[in-house]
Order: sequence, then structure tokens, then C-alpha cells
Amino acid sequence: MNAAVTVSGAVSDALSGVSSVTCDGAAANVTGGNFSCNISLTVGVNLVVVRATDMAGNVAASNFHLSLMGTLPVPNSLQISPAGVNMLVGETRQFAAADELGRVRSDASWAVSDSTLATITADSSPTLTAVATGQVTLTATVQSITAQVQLNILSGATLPPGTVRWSAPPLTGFTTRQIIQAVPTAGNGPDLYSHEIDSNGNGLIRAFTADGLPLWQASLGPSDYSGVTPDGFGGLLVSNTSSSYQPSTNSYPVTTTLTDRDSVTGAPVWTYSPGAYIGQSAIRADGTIFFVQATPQDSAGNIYTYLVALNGNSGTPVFSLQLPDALVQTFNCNGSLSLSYYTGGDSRSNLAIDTDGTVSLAIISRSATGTLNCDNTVASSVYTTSLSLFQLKPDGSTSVTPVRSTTVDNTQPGTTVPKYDAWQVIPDGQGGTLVAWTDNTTPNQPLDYVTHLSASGNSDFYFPALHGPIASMVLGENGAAYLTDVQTIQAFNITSGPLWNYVSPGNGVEIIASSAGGGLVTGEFPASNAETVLRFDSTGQPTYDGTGNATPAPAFGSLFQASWTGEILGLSTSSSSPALSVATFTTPVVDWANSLWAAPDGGPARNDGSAQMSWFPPLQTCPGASKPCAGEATWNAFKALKTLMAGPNCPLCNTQVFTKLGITQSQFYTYLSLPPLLSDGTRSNAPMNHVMCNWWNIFCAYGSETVANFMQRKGSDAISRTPSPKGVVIFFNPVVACTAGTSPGTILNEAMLFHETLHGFTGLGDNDLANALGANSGNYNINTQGSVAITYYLENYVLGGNLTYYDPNPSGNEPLVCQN
Amino acid sequence: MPKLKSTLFLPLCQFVLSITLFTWGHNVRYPVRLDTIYLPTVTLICYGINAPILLIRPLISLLTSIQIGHGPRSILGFALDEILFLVAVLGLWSLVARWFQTVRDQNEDRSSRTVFGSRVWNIVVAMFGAFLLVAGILLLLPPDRFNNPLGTKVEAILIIAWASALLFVAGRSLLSPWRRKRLASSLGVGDGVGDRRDVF
Repeated sequence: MNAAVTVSGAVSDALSGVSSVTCDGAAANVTGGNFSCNISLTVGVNLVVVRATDMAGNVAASNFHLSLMGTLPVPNSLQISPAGVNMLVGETRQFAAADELGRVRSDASWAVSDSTLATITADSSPTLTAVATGQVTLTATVQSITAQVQLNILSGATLPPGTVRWSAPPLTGFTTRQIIQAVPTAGNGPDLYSHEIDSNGNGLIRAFTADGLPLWQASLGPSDYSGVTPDGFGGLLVSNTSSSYQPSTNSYPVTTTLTDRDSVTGAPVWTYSPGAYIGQSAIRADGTIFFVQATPQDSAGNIYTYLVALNGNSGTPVFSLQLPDALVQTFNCNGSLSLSYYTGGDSRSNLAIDTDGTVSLAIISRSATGTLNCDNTVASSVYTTSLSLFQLKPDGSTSVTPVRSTTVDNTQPGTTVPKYDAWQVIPDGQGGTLVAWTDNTTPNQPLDYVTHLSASGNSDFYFPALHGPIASMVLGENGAAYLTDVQTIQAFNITSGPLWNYVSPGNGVEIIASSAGGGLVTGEFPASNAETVLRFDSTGQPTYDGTGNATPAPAFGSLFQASWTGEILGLSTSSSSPALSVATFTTPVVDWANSLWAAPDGGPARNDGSAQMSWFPPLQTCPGASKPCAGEATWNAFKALKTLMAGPNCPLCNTQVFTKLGITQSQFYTYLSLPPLLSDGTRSNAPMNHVMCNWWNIFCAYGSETVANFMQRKGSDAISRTPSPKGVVIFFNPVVACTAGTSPGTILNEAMLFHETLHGFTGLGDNDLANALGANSGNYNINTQGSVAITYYLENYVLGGNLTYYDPNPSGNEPLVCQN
Repeated sequence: MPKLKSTLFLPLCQFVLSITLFTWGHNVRYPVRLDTIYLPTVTLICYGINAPILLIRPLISLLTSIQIGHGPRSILGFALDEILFLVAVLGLWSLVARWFQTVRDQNEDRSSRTVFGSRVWNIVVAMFGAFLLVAGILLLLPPDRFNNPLGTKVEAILIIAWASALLFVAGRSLLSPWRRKRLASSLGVGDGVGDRRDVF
């Protein structure tokens, strides 16, 4: 069922005037300062993209979503997600069924094969509860179409290390190629994406929540190669590369098209197709997209490279800077120029974006100047190979800092043309940069270096234990950094050099993330293509998860990465085709280091931007453990609150809260349905005046200090963005979470979440909220107890608990602690 | 030299006053443990006394956020945004001092003209005044902000006072040609443009 809708609005341009307006790519009628256009909606959520172009070619875009209610047609097939589930007795998990187009079917009915082993609710978001050990078949049915998954219910307090908690197998005919983690946003976006491809090269993206619930799928169409990177708004940037024969140059130039995909629907938002090759993209915290663009070779043989920045919202170029390219020249014996062309550089590292917005790129260029004798034999052949760091600063200035440069005349006996390769560039966390590169001048004898460029100069560190390409480099705590050539891990101090190294006795090792306390979490391939978790402490002492330092834990897959919440994601090899999977290892799985480049290519999103991880560090989780960590405790409290608000079983909510605040339970539930941002404020270096208010808010009373500083200075247990209309944004001190798993503690957590969420929804500060609720006198008095009076009020009057926090120093500034 | 002294005296006094109020505010403890922002009354008074700086607060937010992760977050106990605010205090009150100076100069030499007399300047000042007036009224309306009802009202009143002053000064200057014209026509001395000294 489709529906036609007219979109209208106002458009203006004070300078050159409006040239055109499009709605979803179709031209709109523009009259005076108004436009209107007809669009077609399908059942579900629809993305509408309105783009206005002025006479000067500038583009402004407005993207919004429209939902069309209606009945979906009978599906051709169904798939249940998550699949491959292993859970413990007493655990609960939500499931959903999606049809062949990836649409979630809320009209599915659900059944379990044995209700003595598991039960499932009958609502549109079915929740399965594991009752007893065994194997259960879960069936979803939409009209006559059914789908089934098997799930295992295990006994014990924790799942064995290496156990897959859930999977998302690829669609039939497809293979999972890549797992992508979205940049967290306070919108309706997914947490994970699965990039799948079939044997004909047709790509597919499927979006999931962090618990494996499906959200949407989108076809990417055919391409020679497609790469996917999270954009800055929770969506995806898809790069499709192809080549075709060009008779004019008798060549097959490679060209790239970038398409930005909406996080809510997967629909294309914009497309950038410059007719040139585009390298790996890096995303700045404000969503701006940076990449290196190389022009196709022209008839004179020139290839030019540019650093290009695109507006992440509209896909229009913000600027383009030509990079220093290598020049090849040949002179005749009379000194005249015989040949001259630019080669576009020899090799480049990744682009790395520092937290201040500085864009860094290591460039290798090999220029050559040849001189011919008059008989056309070579008189001289001078090569200059240089490695330099190109940087674009936030103020728009650029710099090129030499790292290494060598010039040789190749016609002289015994000379070898130097060859360098740039692999990794990362910020050092102190305003400087680390460049990992290899001197490949002597064949089969690669020499691996890291050069530290800082305000005090350059320092070279040579690592004889490494041999060849540097696959990844991450920054840890206390000035430590780590890099690997996939066989050896090398740790070093960014100012003093090598610390320790580890040579994998198996088939290799890869870096997953640096961890708190100066450690490192890696994935090792013991013998086959399956990987297991190997940790190092700050001294380089290795430990296999769950089995100590001698025997690797069971391997379950490959391409491990750590999620925002510290879980291990990977491609499971247990099924017939590699599948996006989440597995359990020793708890805590990954306790992220307080570092701005803790994972390869930045943070969990791996988009070469360094800011996101440190702005919203996740609360620590310990999946499968007998007791929750602060992450589970908080998220479970949020889910419990949401469940409470979804049903009719909370009369006290209305009498004690909503009526007093002039809101309804339904409105509050709708607000809770917006994805929340629940972060560990004690590790966040986000500026308060950006995450607690909009930067343009003249009444924003928060300064530029970091969230961590603020919470430490004020002894805060939790701080909430007030108001926060796009979803709750809360920074916690983990000590306030009750983690014993008992009922009183769970209720207190829920009351705290209720309290904080009311701030975000109503926009009321503590005083006003307490006054409105009546928590300003008697047993619950904000004037004597502080804001915790609101939590206690909600706990006692609404949720039926009476546990209180422990105050370690009533006259001091320490945060309250839950001792339950 | 006396003029120079007078244009330095006012901004320096305000600068010292703002530092004092900020420092005082730093030392005020939250009355109770709160998880939304609390601002002491003295800090809000500091904001109110320097109300026009509210208009560039977004710029301060932007400038300070790009430094995250690098460099010192505070100098001599003042956060970067506070330091930028204090620099803006110097700028604001230098402007006010220069305006006072100009008014004095014009009283002595009515033919002197500065940027403060231009129509564009006065329109901008009037717009700032109107903006501050709206901001001040918004602060007076519920909900209370900063968990400090008294401090919020004091800040609002100071902002409205600033707004009133700006609107009065700008309005007076913008209306003066019209007033001159009316006065000149009532005195029968032409359009008044060439008769400034006679009219005033």
C-alpha cells in the first residue's frame, strides 16, 4: 500500500537566489519563496530528503521521516533475529521476525516448542524467558509463512568463554563480509550493521540493535568492490568502486561513488560521484567526511590527488586541497624537458582525525629526475623518496612535516632506490602524531619504524621484532601505544620507545582494543582461521580468557572487534556461512582504555575519527557473569522502566508522578522509546557545554570542562541532559549502580533511571522536579537530602522499594554509592 | 592621558569584579547534592552584569569545544570558557568606556562623530537590546533554571536592565534626527541638518 503526500515548505537564499528544489530527487514546484512536491510513502518509516540548490551551486538539505500506518502484505519469507542464541536459565531475550525486504513484522505470532523449557510473551515485541536447560525451537508465523530458530538454554552462572550469545546469519545466497558499529546518536538508529554480498557482487546492508533485533535491510546493488564506514550521524557511508575502459586514455580508470545511507530507514540520503578514485574515508565528530581523491590519469600521464571534505548532511564538497604529488621528469642532453608528469604519490596511510579536528595523513612520494645523453642513453636517474606528514588544522592551515627523505642516483653502482611504505597514523593524545611506516629498501628485509612527531620534534623508534606491513596501531593509557604486523604485538612508550613484544606462536594475532589499566586485548588465531581472546597486562604478561596463560579458550570466529559496551563481536564460523555474532569471554570483556584511539581506526566505529569513543564511553559490562556490572544494571533498569511504562500496571505512576507533572504515561513511554545514551561519565572527555546543552544555547550554564572533571569536582552520581528531546542522555558514575542483582537494588536502579529520565523529558531541574512531585519536605526532601530525594520518592511511592545509597562522606564531595 | 585612563579604568574594574565574582562562585558549594546544574547567585550576578556577552556565548562554546583532548583545560583555576568570558568582559566594558568618552566628547565638541553615532551601529545596538529583553523575560518565566530561583531572577533583572539601557541609548540616537527636524521646523530654521549647534 502506498500513499501520496504533498510536501511543502519555504526556501530562500539571500545572495544568488534559489535555483532548484528537489524532494527525494524529483524536482519540486517553486513559487516565490515556497516549494511543494508530491512524494509516495510506503507502509512504515519513510525518509524524505529535500535539497535546495542556489544559483552558485550551494546545496542545503533537510532530511526528515514520515511514517505511514497500514497493513503489510503477506511475506514471501521470514527470518527470526537474533539466531544462534545461547542463554542461561533465568535470562530473557527479545526476538523479532523480518520479511524478505527486512521489514519487521509486528503482526507475527510466536510459539516455543516446549513451554517447560522456555516461555514467550504474545505481544508485538515478544520476550522469551529461559526456564530450564535444553534446546528449544522458536517459531514465528505471519499468516501462512513461518520461520524457526533453535536456541540453547544452559545451566550455570556464566556462559563458557567463547560461547556465541547470538548471531545474525546472512540472508540465503549472501556471505557476511563486514560488521560495522554505528556511531551512537540520540536518534532512532541501529547499533550494528551487517554488510553482506552475494556471488554476483550484489551488496546488502542489514541493521540491528545491540541485542540482535533486526531493524531494516537495504540493497546496495552491484559493484566491483564496496566498502562501508559508519557516518557521523548513526548511518553509513557506502563506497562503490568500479572501472570501465576509456578509449581516450586506453585505460581502465577506477572511479568511486559515495552514498550516505540513512540510519533509520537505510535509504540513500545523498550520492557523491566525482568520476575519480576515492580512498578510505575518515569522519570528523561534526559529521564532515574527509578522504583522498585521485583523478584518473590524463592523456599526459598526470594523476593528481586531493584531500576533499564533504558536508556529511548534504554530501556537497566543503573544500578540496591538492596534496603534494610526486613528479617524474626527464631532460634531454640539451637541457630541454622531454617528459614531465605527476604520479599522484606512491602510498598513503589512513586519514586520522584528532579530537580537535586536525586531519593527518602520511604521504610517501617518489619523485624521479632523469637526464638523457645525446645518444638517448641514461646519464643520470635521481630518485627522491620522501615520507612526510600532511596535516590540515582546525583553522584551515596546512603543514607538511618531513619524516624521512633520501635521494640517490640510480645510475651509480651499488645504489638502491629507497622505498618506504606508510601504514598507520594516529594522534598521540597530547597534540602530536604517531606515524608507523616501513623501510622496504632492501628486498625481504623490511624495517618497521614509528616516528613520533610532537612540538618538541621528531623521534624515530625502530622495532626489530616487527617484519612488514603494520596492520594496526592503537593508543593505550599512560603514554603506551601498540602496533602489530599480524604476527607480533609491539608495545612502546610514545616518548621513550619499546616496552615489550609478543610473538604469536599460532597463525597470527590482531589488536582488538587497548584496555583500562594499561592493558591490551587482542584476538589470536591458535591454529586455524578461528580466533580467541588473548589479553596483556601493562607489563606484557599474556592471559587467555577463561583458561589462564597456557591454553587458548575455544575459538569462535574471526575479525574480532569490541563493541561500544565492551562485548566481543566477530564473524562466527560455527554456521555454514560466517555470521555476525556476539560472544562471551571472561568478564569484563573489554574495559575500554581512557584513550582517544583505543581501537584500530579510532574507536569502536572504526571510522578514523577519535572523538566519539571518549565522549560517550560505555558503562562496563560483563555479559554472562553471575552478577551484573554497571552496564547491565543500568540498561536492565532502563528496560524495566520502559516495560513498566508500556503496560497498564502502574496506577501509581499516574497519581504520584505524571498527573503532578502534567504529562501522560503514554507520552513518557514514547520518550523512553527513543534510544538512550547511557555513558560512563567518569571516563568521558566530552565538553559539558556540548553534550549537556546545544552549543548555541545562550543559557547553557555548563562550561567547557569535561564531563569527567565536572563529575569529579561535584561528586556527581549521575548528570542528565535537561531537557533532552531526542532521547535521554545520562552520564553515570558507575559506583551508583546497584550490581548485586537483588530486587531492592534493581528497584533503586530503576528509580534512579526514572528520576534522570524525567529530567530529560520535562526539562525540569532538580528543584522544580522535586517541588512538582512534592519531594521537598518530610521523608523525601530535596532541601536536606539533595536530588536523591527524588529517586527515593519514586522508589518508595511508585516502585515499592526502600533501599538507600551509602554516603561515604556526608560532609564531603564523594558520590553516593550503592552497596547492594 | 586622562582619557586613556578613563577608558582603561572601567574595563579593568569590571574585569577585577568579574574575576572576584567567578572566584567567589567557585568556592560556593552546592547547597545539596544535585544532578542538574546549580549556579551560585554570585556567578549569575556576574553573568547579569555582563549580559551582552550572552550573545557570544555560543561562539565561546564552539571555540572551547575544539580544544577538547589537548592543552590545559584551565588556567589559574579558570576554565577556558571562563577565560574567554573574562576577555569578553574587557572588550565589552572597553566599548562602554569608549562610548562614555564619546558622549563626553560630543558634549564638548558637538561636531565630532564616531561609529557610536552611526545609524547602523544604533540599529545593531537596538537589536541586541531587544534580544536581551526577550532573554531576560524568558529567564523570569518558569521553569526555574540553574536550581537557583533567586539567582535566576537577579540575573534576569540585570539582563533586562542592560536591555533597557541599550534600547534607550539606541532609540534616542535613532530618533534624534527626527526630533531635530521637528524642532527645527517648529523654530523655522530649515531642516536642521546644518544647525546642530543651534538646535542643541
